[in-house]
Parts: sequence; structure tokens; C-alpha cells
Amino acid sequence: MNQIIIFLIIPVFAAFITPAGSLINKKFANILNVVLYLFAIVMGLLIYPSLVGSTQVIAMGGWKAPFGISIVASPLAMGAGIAMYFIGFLIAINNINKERPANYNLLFNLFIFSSVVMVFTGDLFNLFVMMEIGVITTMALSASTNMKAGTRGSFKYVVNSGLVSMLILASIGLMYSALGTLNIAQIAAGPAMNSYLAFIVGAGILMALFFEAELFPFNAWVPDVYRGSHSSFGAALAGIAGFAGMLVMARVLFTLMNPSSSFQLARESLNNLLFGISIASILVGEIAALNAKDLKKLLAYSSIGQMGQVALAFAVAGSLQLSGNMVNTSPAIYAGLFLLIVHTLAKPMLLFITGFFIKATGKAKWEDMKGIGRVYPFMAVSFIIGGLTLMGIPLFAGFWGKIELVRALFAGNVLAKVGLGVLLFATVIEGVYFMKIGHSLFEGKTKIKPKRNGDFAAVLVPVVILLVCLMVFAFFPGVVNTHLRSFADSLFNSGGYVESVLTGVGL
Amino acid sequence: MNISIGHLLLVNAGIIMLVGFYGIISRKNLVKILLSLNILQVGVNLLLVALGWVENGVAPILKEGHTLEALQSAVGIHFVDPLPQALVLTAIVIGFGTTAVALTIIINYHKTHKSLKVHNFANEMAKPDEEEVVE
Repeated sequence: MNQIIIFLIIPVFAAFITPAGSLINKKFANILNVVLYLFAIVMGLLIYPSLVGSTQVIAMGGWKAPFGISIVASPLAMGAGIAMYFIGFLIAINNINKERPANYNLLFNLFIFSSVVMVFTGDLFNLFVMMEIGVITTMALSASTNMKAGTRGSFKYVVNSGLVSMLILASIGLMYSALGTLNIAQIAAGPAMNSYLAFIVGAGILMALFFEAELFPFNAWVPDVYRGSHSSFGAALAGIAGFAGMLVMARVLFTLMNPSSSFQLARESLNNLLFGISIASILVGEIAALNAKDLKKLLAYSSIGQMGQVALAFAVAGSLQLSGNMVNTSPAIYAGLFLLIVHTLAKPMLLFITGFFIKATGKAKWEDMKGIGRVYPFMAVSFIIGGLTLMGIPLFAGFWGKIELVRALFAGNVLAKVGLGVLLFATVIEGVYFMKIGHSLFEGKTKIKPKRNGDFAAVLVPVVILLVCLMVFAFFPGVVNTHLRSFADSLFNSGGYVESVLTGVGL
Repeated sequence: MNISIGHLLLVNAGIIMLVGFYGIISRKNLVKILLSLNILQVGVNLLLVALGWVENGVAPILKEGHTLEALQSAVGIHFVDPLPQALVLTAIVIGFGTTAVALTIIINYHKTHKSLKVHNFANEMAKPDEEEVVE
């Protein structure tokens, strides 16, 4: 079997053997997840060099594109897969002492599988199926704590996901009737659709990705799901599902809907839609976060705002590409990717620390955690560093992404200038709420006694690893710059993607 | 103007989708909202079937007498496109799965909220559930 397929199905293997293994030992799945995700990371790192410069396309069942489903293993997809398994590995470490039912771990593995395959797939219907697998697992996992907020959030998720699933399914049907294909590469190279049809179909697909990436207007479920589920699952939503959703959005925007694709007549309208959604997401997310008292809810709103910033970077890249400003397009995509990877590392860290603080204090509001920074100073300082990273303050990792984004916004159109104003406003708001919490963690006294047990170590290890990654990104951005810039170029160069998928098919 | 079965299916699909969407935004009971979602799904599935409709079409299986000339000629055999049907079949299975999980979530909602009514902003303010904490 192809090694890339093995890389993709590692979580499915874990999901299959988890129920049987859990009969022998209740913590079987906890250890299995750590081992298998570590194996997946190592395997991905070994495969990655062979993909640089030569994207590998796997025809599932032997049916070549565009007749069958193709898995497109580009360096971007493999890098994203490694990053998602990395977050999965850290979550598995965080859960190592927790007794979760076998079904929880089974669903969690399927959740990671669906997110990883979403980034690899070259077929739109396959993308829909993977999104649905992700939806079913998220519904169940967010209601697994049997809490009011979790169940409520889960039902909101049911309604939102039901609506967007139907939108993307109808869009897929319309597109197939118009073009006779669902292959991303063929549509990217295809003849132009009618402008109205292209807008309806494009908006339907983008709406589904807005939902996946926690963007406005399908984000009503986000705060309740974060609040009512385990912190580690919140970390998975922010670090894996949101990450995958955003990368698929980038692929859809710059490859599927490139300026010479079947969507060419509606590309500008779709880009303006993305501008509107990203600006609305930043405003809604950050203002709601400012008023939130529950720490997990606050981080959920913050995720909406952060994802809005990434979407803003993609929107400005799209508008620069349309206006022929090719010099600034790739840096704008790079800014989006940098902000996305920083969020993928920082938000899970904040959620791990939040879960630990909630367990230590028995309270969910940040105002009730006063003084805990004196008991657990490393955790509190890490929380503050995570907040400063997300804000994009100089000397922290987020700065490199934000400065590139600001540059791109300066070069953009009127909507980009509006976006710039909103971005700066959002940064100030982020500063207010993160510093307010940071101050509160060290203010006053608490009766909590410090415990240095296994639970502490299970949080400390992933937090230290993520903190080191963020510090490396902050002080040695060159480590990832080369890769991120080549990913941005590969997204921008849709011709290369089309060629690698359709070569030899004779279409 | 000739109205084919394909056109009728399209109109029907549009009406069913609108009924489903109206139900989602107007109902307050969770089971009814889920039913409306299913109605919307039926509408979308019908849309896909309608888009794959071929007048006088036959199942795409090669039989005796299906010569290459007959397949290629405009008055010959018209095979229906099997892909939309395969998509609908997959969508029905996925819909079954999501409905089953959604129903268990509704049971869970009833256990935790002692009601099947939509929890809105007003009753969140009146009865906050802040005492619930999960790490």
C-alpha cells in the first residue's frame, strides 16, 4: 500500500482497535494515541522531503483524475497533515491520565482523520464526505460531557452543519450539471460558468468552509461547544478542524477559483464576500471576547476573531491577484498561513492551561482565578505569552504574520483599507482582554495549594513543547519561512497543481 | 413550452427546500427543527436527481445491441449519468447518520434542560447555568 495512504489512515487504524483494546485496559486508547500520532509525525517527516518539488497524486481505486477520487500529496498538504498530527499528539499527552470512554477516543481519531483527508483530497464530493464525518464526530464529542452548554452547543452545531451541508451539496450538484466534473484541478482549468451560477455555487462552497473555520455567520455553536466540552477537544477544534477548514478555503480560493477557472466571472464578487465575512468575524469575535467572563468562551470568541484575520489575509491576497499586483499576492497568502500556524500552536496551549486552571480552581470564570499565577507561575506566564503571540506584539511569533498582513493591506483596495482599520482595532481589543486576564492571574491571593502530580505533568509537557515552538517562530522565523513561502507560492501557482493532477490523463 | 419530468422535479425540489428552510427558522421544538432539516435534505437530494435526469434515459449498463454507433448517435440510446445517483445515495447514508446522532443529542438535551424547546438568549439570562464547569 502507498505510504501516503498509510499516513492518512493511521487514525482509522487507531479507531478500529480502540474498542477491543479498551476491554483489556481502560487507558489503552490514551497510550495508543500517543504512540500512533508520534509514529504519524515521524512518517510524515520522512515522506515530506520526497514531495518537495514533485507533488504525488494517488488515484484511489486505480481511477485516474478526473474520473476517480485523487489524493493530492503536495508539500502543503503533507506539512498540514504533520501539524495536525502534532496537535493530536499533544492532545493525547494532555489526556494521558484521563479516563475517557472508548467511544470518545474512537470518535476523536475519526475527527482527526476527516480533518487530515480534507486537506489532501482533490475531489469536491470527497471533501463533502470528509466534512460530514467531521460533523458527526464533533456533534458527539461536544455533547460527551452531558452538560447543558455542551448539549446546547452540539444542537446548534447540528442545525448549522445541516444548513451548510445542504448548501455545499446543492452547490456540488449544480456545478456537476454545469461542468460535468467534481475534480478540483479540472474545474480550476475549466471553461467559465455563467456568472450568476458561478457566484451561487462558489458562495455555497465558501459558506461550508466559513462554518468549518468558525467564521461568521455560521459560528453560533462555537462558544457553547468550547464551554461545554473538554478543553482538549476545544484545542482540537481550534488547532485541527479550524486549521484544516482554513487550508481548504485557501485551496478553494486560489486553486479552484483562480482567475482563469470556471469561477472566473464571479471571482471578484466571491472575493468581496470573503472580505465582508472576514471583517464581520473579526469584529463579532473580538467584541464578544471582550465581554466574555467564562475563560473558555472568551477563547472561543477569540478564535472567531483570529480566523477572521486569516480570512482577511486570503481575501486581500485574492484582490491583489485580481488587480494584477502579483508581487504582493504571495506575501499576503504567506501572512495568512503564518497567522494560521501561530493560532494553531497558541490556541491549544491557552486551552490546555485554561483546562488546568479550571480543574485547580473549580471555576470557569477568569475573574475567579485570581492569584493562581502565584501558585503556578509558569502556566500563567505561558498564558500571557500565548495572548501576546495572538495579539502580534513584536518579539512574539504572531508579529511576523501581522506585519506582513499590514503590508499587504496597505497595498490593497478600499476594502483592504477598511480591513486594516478593523485589524488594528481588533489588536487593541485583544490587548485589553488578554492583559486584563494576565493581570488578574497574578492579582490577589488564593487558597489553592500547588500540586506537582501526574495531571500537572500531562499539562506541562504539551505547554512546554508549544511554548518552545512559539519561541522558535518568534526569534528564528527563518526556520519556517522558507516552507511557508513555498506553500504560499504553490497555492498561488494553480497551474502547477492542475498539471500535477491531470498530467497523463489527456484532458 | 414543453415541461418535462426533469423540470417538475426541479420545481418540486425548490418547494421542498423552502418548506424545510421555513421549518428550521420558524419552529421552536428541537425535534421539529431536525425534521425540517431532513425535509431540506430531501429537497437537495431531489435536486441532484433532477439534475441527472435524462429524457427517455436508460440505466448505464451495456447490453446486447448497444453498438458504438447507437451510443454515439443523437437518436440512439440515452444512458443516464449514474454519478448524481451515486452522490444522492451517499448523501442519504450520511443524512441517516447525522440524524441518528442528532436524535441522541436531543435526548441528551431533554435530560439536561428538561425541555425540548430552543434555549434562547432570554432564558439564558433568566436561568444561567454558570455552575456547570468542565476542565
